[in-house]
Amino acid sequence: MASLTSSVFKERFLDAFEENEVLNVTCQEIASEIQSGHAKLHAVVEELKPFVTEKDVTMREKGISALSTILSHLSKDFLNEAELRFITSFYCDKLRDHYSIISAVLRGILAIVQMDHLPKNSPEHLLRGLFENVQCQSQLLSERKNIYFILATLVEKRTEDLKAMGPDFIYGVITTIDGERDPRNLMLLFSILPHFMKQFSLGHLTEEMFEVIACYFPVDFNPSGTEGVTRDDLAEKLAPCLCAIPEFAEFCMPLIIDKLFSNLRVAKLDSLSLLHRGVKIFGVNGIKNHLTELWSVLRKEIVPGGDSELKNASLKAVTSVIDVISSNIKVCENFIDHIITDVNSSLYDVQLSLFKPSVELLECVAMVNKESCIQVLKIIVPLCVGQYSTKTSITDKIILIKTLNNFVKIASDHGFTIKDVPELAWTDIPNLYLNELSTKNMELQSKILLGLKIQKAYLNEAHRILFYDKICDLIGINYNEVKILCHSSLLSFATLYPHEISTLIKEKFQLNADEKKTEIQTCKLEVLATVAKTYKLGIEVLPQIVLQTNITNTDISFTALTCLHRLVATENINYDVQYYLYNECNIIEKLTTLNINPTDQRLDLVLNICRLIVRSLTLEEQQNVVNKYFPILSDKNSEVDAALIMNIFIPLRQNVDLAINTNLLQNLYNLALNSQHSNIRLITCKFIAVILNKINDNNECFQRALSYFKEIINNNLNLNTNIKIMQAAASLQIWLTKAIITKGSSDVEIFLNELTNVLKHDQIGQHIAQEYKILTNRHEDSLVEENFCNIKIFYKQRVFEHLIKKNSEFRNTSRQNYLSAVVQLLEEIPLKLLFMYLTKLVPLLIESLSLDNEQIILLTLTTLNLLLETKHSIFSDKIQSFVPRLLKLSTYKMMRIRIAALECLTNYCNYPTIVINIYKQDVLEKLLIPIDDRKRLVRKAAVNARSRWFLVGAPGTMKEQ
Amino acid sequence: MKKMGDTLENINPKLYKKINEREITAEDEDEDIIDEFDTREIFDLIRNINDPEHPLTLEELNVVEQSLIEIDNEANKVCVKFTPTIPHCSMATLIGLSIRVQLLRVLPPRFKVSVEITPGTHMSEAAVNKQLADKERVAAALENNHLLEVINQCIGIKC
Repeated sequence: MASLTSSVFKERFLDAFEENEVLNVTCQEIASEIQSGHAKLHAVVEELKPFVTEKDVTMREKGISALSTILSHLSKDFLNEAELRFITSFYCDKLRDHYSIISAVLRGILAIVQMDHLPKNSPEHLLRGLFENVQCQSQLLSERKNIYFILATLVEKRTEDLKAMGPDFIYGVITTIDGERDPRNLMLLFSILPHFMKQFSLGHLTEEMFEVIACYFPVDFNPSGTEGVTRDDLAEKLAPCLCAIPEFAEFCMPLIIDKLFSNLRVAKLDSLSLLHRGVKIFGVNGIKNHLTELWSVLRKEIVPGGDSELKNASLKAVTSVIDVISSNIKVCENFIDHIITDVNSSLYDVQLSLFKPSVELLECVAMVNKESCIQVLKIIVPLCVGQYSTKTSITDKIILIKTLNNFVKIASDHGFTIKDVPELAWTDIPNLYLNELSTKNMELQSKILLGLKIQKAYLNEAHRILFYDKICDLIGINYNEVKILCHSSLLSFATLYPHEISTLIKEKFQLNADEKKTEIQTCKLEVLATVAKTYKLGIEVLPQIVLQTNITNTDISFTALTCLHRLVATENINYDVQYYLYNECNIIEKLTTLNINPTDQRLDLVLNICRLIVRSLTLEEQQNVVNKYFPILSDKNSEVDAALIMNIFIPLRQNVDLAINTNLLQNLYNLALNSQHSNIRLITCKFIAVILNKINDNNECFQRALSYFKEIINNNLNLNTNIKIMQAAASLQIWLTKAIITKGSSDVEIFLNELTNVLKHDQIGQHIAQEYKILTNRHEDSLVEENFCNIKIFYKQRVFEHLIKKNSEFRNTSRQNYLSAVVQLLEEIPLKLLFMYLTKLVPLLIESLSLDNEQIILLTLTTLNLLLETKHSIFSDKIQSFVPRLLKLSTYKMMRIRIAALECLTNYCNYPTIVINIYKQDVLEKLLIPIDDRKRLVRKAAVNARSRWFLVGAPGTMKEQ
Repeated sequence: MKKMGDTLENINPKLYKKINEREITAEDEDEDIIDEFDTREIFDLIRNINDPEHPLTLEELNVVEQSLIEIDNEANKVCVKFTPTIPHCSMATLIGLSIRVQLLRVLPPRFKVSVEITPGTHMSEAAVNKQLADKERVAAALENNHLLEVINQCIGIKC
């Protein structure tokens, strides 16, 4: 039996050796036979023996390859220790064999090092054999990769066994990896090495190890495209190797400083990021001897700081250096002192160009911790305060207050105020600010207000009383920034000192019923609405605001409603305003009894407030609301009442009971089609859509309502009588379709088909095209999840795909309607989705640009401008269709089109020079007309375009391309 | 920004505040009104030119000012005066050239543009003015690739 199987194996091998593919499959089969017990490993090895000892190298290679492949397919715990010991010594022997079989040997070793029962001394045997006999860097790429995998596996699984090898192992690794050039192998190595260096003590080989990896820094690599590895990937992986262990500090710090002197920007950036990462590992002892030199190189990037990316990276590095050395007070103080001495001279004239970068640096230093902050404050505060008292120019004062504000903010973030610093106890910043608040300059005033707001926790009672007085004086001022700051100051003081603000409100901002001046009342209302964001004051002032909503003076009523709307729409209020208004102030009832007509500007506010409040109620409360108001809707009532009730009903939860009867349907149909007011018609359409969206498809009610409305729409569309009513019916159809597609019913396609067919209608096709985007409008606020509607995630995609597919159905007269619908839709479709359809979309865009329809052209240009920013290659391919059209449109009769076309042309400058250069002369020539346009805004766009086109392929701009 | 030499002539120049973006008025939006070129528009064309030495614009350094610009729409004339930061500034010609090139590129060719140093603010005022007024020399300067590179960097729109 044994001989039978063996001869079978032999034949299988002989067959398999003919072709590599077959060998792999055969070995896999044999491996699973061994695994399942149908064959024995030793029998197979016995059979392979003639091959692996064969004189012919090719044959021998195939034999070993077969064995390695079989091993690699065995599970990791299958072989026992004795078997593995035997195999180990076999492979160790073979490492000395002919160079052409090394590849197969390495694959075998890689398979066995992963085995669980590998004997304790095997890793050492294997590695010694490997280091002695195989010159890693003279192997091919894939063999080198396998060697690294062997090392990685062993380092990971057999750390203890390898430690026994001592420095020999370290030396072996260093010689193995020294000189690797392949980016993918380097990515692999860089990900193994940090762990390796942390696990094994490098001893006298530390410098050698560092040198082997330091030679790659900074990474200089231009990807050819096939590797999929970028320069930044390599740089990102290399940095952790260079600062893996504290011992590297003595080599790494000089390297960083050296590369910071480089002329290459990327070398500097890499060094800065390495520094940022490294200091944490090197610690204060590793870097303290390099600080002086380090600061002098960092300084030239920070002051004057022309390159903001380098400047920010340097500031980040300074921050992390101070953070690390702060454990040694002496060293840290000296370092910061050094910085301060260096920039000190730039701090004396705020208008000189070095002031700003110097202050920015000191801010960074102060942000690190309390100690560094105090050290900086001791210098900067006297400087600012002193200059403030001597300077007379407002510009100077503004800059000084801004600077001071920043440092006050940093100090308060650290939990203290300037006065707490013993050396600065003499200062009185709050008083200085309060005195200066009476300045006539609004900008200075707003900076001072901001400063006082920052200090809110550190003002004493006397300061606060003074401050409130000033705010009351200022709040009536019409300068927007000051007003907003007064409001926000009141709010933030209200959270800290609610009683004080409450008294203030009662004294100064009480609403007088007989107040005649609208402005005063409005101003007070706004203050009340601001402080109502805190619970304590909210319950005091909300009833007052609500009272003002039905006052006869419509301006005041409007302001009160605006304030309420702002409050119920604000999300981060720490108590439930909506519920308070509903429950305590009876707001729904009050608002429904307001007597307003459909054209009143207050209507929208009332509708929105009601909707937001009902939305936040519980199921039970909503049901109560429905029971109370439903009768109004099914009876004949005023249009405004109906609109109001519909709005209250839009945000109902899905399981609130709403008895839909024929009366209701008839009422809705009347309002949607026959109302004189477009806003009432729209609200009704929305309401119908929301209701249909929420009812289950199988509900009898749903079917009845749906067929009722469909019939009405069809009747009206076919009657061809009154164009107004036909348009209203078409709008209703869009909303019905939207209700169906958002909930994802099974007949979505049917509805969409019907809707696109209306685009061909000669009277209202254009109307439908205009309104088509309602289907995907993201600003729409009724048919949304917040109102408990069913919204399927991909419904926009469905609408868009469907419309794109219909391309071929539209010819002649309906073509324009179709394109109009498409471009209207584009605004609402996420860019990612547009990307998937670019090849189908771009021809449509080109076609739209040639139409004589201002609106379509403008919309197309707007979308085109966004798409061009993505630099997709399709726009390079189609440049001959776009650039001449854009040039033509740059003299179009409508000015917004001229501007949009010019913006697109500017955008084209970001495309590869090789693509656009042939158009350069033509564009420059043709742009001579728009730069002399009669409208200044067009000229501005043309100037931008022409300046950019001059730089195409010009010297000094190559790196931007 | 590329440095011209190792040492800057004026290491810590005085900074001036930038004016706000021009506000768009109802007339600007009205298709029927013709907007004439005005000094602010010319100023907007040149105020963002970068200084060859500093990472700052000519406006921030007060090298160009709206009050030093004259325009005559009927006669098609634009005159821009600029003020070097220091009287011995060696960059004066280069700055003047940048202003000139920018205006050549973005103003309609009907305008006759002159760029001059504000009287009394530079030692070699006459010589620089003469160079800037000489069409041949300006054209020749633009043939010089290195010079063109520096000018393009000064004019370059930051993107």
